[in-house]
Amino acid sequence: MTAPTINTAHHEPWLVWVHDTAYGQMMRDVTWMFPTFQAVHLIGMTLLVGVIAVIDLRVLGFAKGLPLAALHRLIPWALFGFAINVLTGCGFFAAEPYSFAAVPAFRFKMLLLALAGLNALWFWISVYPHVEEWGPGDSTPVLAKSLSLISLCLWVSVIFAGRFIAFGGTGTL
Amino acid sequence: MSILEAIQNTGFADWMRVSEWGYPIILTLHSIGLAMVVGVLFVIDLRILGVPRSLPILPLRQLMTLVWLGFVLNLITGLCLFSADAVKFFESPTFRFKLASVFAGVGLAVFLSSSVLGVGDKFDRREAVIPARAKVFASLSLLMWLAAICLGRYVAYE
Repeated sequence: MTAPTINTAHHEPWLVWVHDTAYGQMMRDVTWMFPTFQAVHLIGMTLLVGVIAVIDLRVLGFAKGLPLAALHRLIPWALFGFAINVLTGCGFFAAEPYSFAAVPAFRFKMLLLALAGLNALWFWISVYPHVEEWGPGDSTPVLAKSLSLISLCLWVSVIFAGRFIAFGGTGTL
Repeated sequence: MSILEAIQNTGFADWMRVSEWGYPIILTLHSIGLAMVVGVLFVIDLRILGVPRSLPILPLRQLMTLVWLGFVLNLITGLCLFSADAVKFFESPTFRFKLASVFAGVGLAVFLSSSVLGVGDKFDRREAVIPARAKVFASLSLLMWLAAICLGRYVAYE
């Protein structure tokens, strides 16, 4: 029996396709693009996480004078930040798809993002229909508080995992 | 030997450079602090600019606690990161511009917090409208933080 060998020259066809796209090529060839996209990715992150964190903290009872319905008007800004980060994130991945796909921190970040998405969906279905009821000073039920706490923990973890992709072997900064 | 050289020759600076977890964890905490400072100020500045109008201004004052908490976190983690390569950072124009943006951003936050959020009930009761000057400062605040984020990222590539 011989030990299984890892063929480093062979990559999944879809990764090769991603690598060869014009987007990937541009991210590798234009030197200012990668750092600039990282800056924009951080700006998108502050939009997304900033708005979500303020809403979550209000649900948890911090700054109770803020009515939740008015805070939810900020959701489009969070979605805008998310859209920016999907776009820039795809750029990083397309630049180095083989290393990104292999780095555990990247896979973990994608898992955390999926969980944060499901959590947000649950919040949207079960809590969002009641936001009009929670005006200044009103407390929220336990389910809303639990989902908000989970949301805060997940987003902080997403930032951690994201930052660790660079230290986990992609060779990026 | 200059002060900067002395800083980057300390045992702590050495640990920042060689330890497996030191630098990554400190840099990640710097990102968390960034999200707290800029994320919350983004909500506050946007409200001063009128979005969303249904959001009362006075209770936003409480969110400033988060901003200052994030700022202290980033001051501490920032000093740690600085120590690892003090001479390079100090001499980098990009880093100096970043610091200038942060100082301007902090100054604007202090001013807007006291002159708008602190008297927010006046605006919430429709007894006064937010002055145009405050809106200009809120826009400048957003601009300063966006600049600080970009310059901070570029410093890493120098």
